[in-house]
Amino acid sequence: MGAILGRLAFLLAFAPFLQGVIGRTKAIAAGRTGPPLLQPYHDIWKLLRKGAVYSPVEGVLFRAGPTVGLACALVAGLLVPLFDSKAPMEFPGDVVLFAYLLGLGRFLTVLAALDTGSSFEGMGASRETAFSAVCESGLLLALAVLCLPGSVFSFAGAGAAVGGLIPHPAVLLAAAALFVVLLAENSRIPVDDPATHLELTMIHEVMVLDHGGPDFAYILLASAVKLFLMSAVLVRLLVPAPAAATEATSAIFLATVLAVGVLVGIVESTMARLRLSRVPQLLFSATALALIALAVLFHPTAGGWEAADALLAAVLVLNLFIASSSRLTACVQACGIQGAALSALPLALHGVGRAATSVHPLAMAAGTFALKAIAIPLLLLRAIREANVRREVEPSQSLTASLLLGAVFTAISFSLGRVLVLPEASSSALTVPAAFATMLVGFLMLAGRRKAVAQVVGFLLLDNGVFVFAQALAREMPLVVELGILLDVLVGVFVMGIAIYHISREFDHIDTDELSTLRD
Amino acid sequence: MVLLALVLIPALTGLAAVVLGDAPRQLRLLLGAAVTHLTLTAALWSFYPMERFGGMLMLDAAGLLFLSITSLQFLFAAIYSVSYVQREGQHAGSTLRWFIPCLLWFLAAMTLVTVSGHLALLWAATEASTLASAPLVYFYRRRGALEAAWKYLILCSVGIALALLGTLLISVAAPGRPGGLGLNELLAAAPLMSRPWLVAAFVLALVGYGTKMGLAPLHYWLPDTHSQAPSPVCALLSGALLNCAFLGILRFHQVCLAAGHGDTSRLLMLLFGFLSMAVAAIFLFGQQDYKRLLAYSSIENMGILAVGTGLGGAAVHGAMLHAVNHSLVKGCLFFLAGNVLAVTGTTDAAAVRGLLRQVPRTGLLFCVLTLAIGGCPPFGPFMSELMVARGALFGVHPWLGALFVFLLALAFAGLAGTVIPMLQGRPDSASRPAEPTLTLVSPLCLAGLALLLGLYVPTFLSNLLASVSWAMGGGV
Repeated sequence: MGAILGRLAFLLAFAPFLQGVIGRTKAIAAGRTGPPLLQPYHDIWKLLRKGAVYSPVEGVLFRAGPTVGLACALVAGLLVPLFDSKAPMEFPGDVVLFAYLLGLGRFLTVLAALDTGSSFEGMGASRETAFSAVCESGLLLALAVLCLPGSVFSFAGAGAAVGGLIPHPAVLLAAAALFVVLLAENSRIPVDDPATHLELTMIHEVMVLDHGGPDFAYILLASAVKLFLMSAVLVRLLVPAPAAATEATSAIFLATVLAVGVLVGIVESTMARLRLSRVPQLLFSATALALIALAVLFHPTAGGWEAADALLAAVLVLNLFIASSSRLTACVQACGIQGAALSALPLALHGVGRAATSVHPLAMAAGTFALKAIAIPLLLLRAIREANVRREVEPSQSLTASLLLGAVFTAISFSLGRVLVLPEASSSALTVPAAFATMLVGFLMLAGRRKAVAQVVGFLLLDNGVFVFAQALAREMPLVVELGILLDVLVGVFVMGIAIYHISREFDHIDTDELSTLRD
Repeated sequence: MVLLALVLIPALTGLAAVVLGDAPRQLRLLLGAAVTHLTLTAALWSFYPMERFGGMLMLDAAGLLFLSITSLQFLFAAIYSVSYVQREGQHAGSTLRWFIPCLLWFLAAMTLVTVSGHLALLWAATEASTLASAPLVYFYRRRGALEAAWKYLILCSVGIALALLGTLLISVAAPGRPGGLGLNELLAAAPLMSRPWLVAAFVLALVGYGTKMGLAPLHYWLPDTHSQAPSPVCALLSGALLNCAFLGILRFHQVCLAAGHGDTSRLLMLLFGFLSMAVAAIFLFGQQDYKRLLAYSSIENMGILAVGTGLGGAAVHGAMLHAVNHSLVKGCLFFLAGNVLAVTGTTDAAAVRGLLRQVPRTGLLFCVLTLAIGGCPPFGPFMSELMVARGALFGVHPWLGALFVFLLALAFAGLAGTVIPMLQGRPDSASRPAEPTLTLVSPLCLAGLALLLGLYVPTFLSNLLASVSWAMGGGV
């Protein structure tokens, strides 16, 4: 009982401070004097002393909303281990309860908003519901990465996957997913702007417009507690809780949570709000990242985690980015980064730290880097400039759909990787999944995009996938042949670049849909 | 050394042609390189050269057969190109500068395909042949040509990426030390290969190289490309390049045979072969673009090659002979189509009438060779198709033979249905355009060779065909 009361008191006392930190970060980044660090406390105190006004059309739901919302947040706070690995309440499956307590709070807020009968609040409620429905899958999958490796599906077993100083690639991916969910759930930029006063663009704030006095104070407190809790979970994903807390570990924990606040502040200061229509894509990307994280986590590995695995995980994430980006330049640049990651692969697999260090991996890495990371992206960027196209405006399939398809293809590739096992144990366990996933996403680009440049990027992905596969077997292949293959790809992209230039000159654009006069 | 020279001579001559720049000197280089190439190739018939660079370059019977076809076809294409460049030179402009160098690099890439003894090198050479020929397809700077070149590039590059994956999978299949891709190594290691990896590799290679070869269902680039590319390029694509892609499939087939899974690869080839024949036969009907018509006929003939190899036994011998015959006749037909196009200015068969009256020599040859490619005696294709049909009829499943003959008849009807009206009737204009003798030299020579092969197959050729057939799991 003491532990529970202590936890409640801590949450209520400390959570608004995190919001103060975000506010200060934004003020400093913008060069303003800004509100003081303790401003949230002042706001809440002021509101608590006021009375509330209720319109005659509002019923009991409107009044219950803020109170239940705060209660839900506080109970959820009892489930999360903070300073040490023990939470005031813990049982198998508490993770699911955590997610759904947050959901219940939101449900009541939405009901309260609808209860006002105002169309604006209804609009906010609709958006909130739509976005949080998409967020939910990302949150649960990220929590699964946190908790599934433990003996019980609970926060108590959290962090078992991390082991050692360098985090598991899956953990990093899940952390990225969780951060996106954190931004969305707490209505931060780029999903929602907590400071906006334009009803048309508001999501969360528009729902609570009618609340005042203590009710609004409860809402502020609830959102502060929620933000604090999600930051704490994020920190606990990266740094597992110690068995027994000391002053040092507690201080580190609080400092890291505040660092998350600073990070949120930096994101808010440097990014603009996304167009509403683009938000689902961001949220789906959290789901996709968490899905990959889960697949990576449970893929059978021969030994420990090595550099090659991290590189291949990066390749997988870049695939999804390329599949979902509408900007051609960004696609090409991501393709270049993927090329750079691939060029490090020969070194990671056969070079540094291996017994048979020779010139072969070095030459391979240098050649790949020069071609895949520099020459080919430059060629394509030039083609984009010449053809004067920036965006894939109307892809044949929506970008969100191709993002999700990319994630599904990745999952399929992981299951293929279990069937097709490479005989050589020295290669990374992610080789087969990464190779197939990259090839499949390449096909997705080839089939689903209209711009010629995007199709070339698809071809490059296809080739990158084959390259991953080749690296696992590279030791027996003569260097000349490998470099010849690379050169072939370079010349191929060169010729395609010339073709793109001609297409743009001939048709004034590079939609390959126009190329359909020859048929039977 | 000879093998290296065979690859390097056209490659370097191509570079020299770029440097020289003006058409007459480029043409002289082209002819010189073509004659040298054919002479060296002919010399290889008397001795097998040593393997070079640890088995990277080697020549076996199959390589020699396809190398000879390529070299011969290239010489005639070069001769035809002389008249072609003179004719098209004035309105081709700056694009002419790259025409001959690309032709030469195309030859170098195809030669490398035939003499490589390493599957990865084979792959790289095949991709190089796509890249060297794509600018040739875009010779006429117009929208249709651009579309054809783009489809050709993308579809063949994607197909060939699958072939690369197949190439890698086959090295996984090899036990012990994966990664080795030398053909002889693979053949030696084949009996111990793991079946799932090997079959997956063969399927990917069949789809990948099959795209390049024009096997259905990934044949879409072929009619588009052939309808837009210049005629000598079409002759090379159909007569030489498709065969080279087939060689890629044959290499994988060889490994499957050595591993004892020949039945699987045969079955797959039969499937793709019959599918290609059927698709081509359907599209040949009512085809109103006579260059596309010839392209679909190429798809049909590639189907025949795959079916013949898939049947095994004596049919393999027939298929290899058919590769030779098809190259001779199809190259010839594309040269003639180029002549018709030059006279009429259109590829629309409905707009072409009375060729026999307007250009009698071209018209007569066109008529005779259409009959030849359709399988009429006494030309070569008749003999080779008969051998394949016999193999099918007297094989395990005689109904396959019936299907084969039925599809041949269907294709012939479609082909003749479009070509015969072009020859008959009265031409639109009464004038008799000139028929330069130079444009008829290559078609005449090729037609003569095709006729010869129909009447008598020389011993040296039948010996070679027998040893290729033997290597590909067939008989004589």
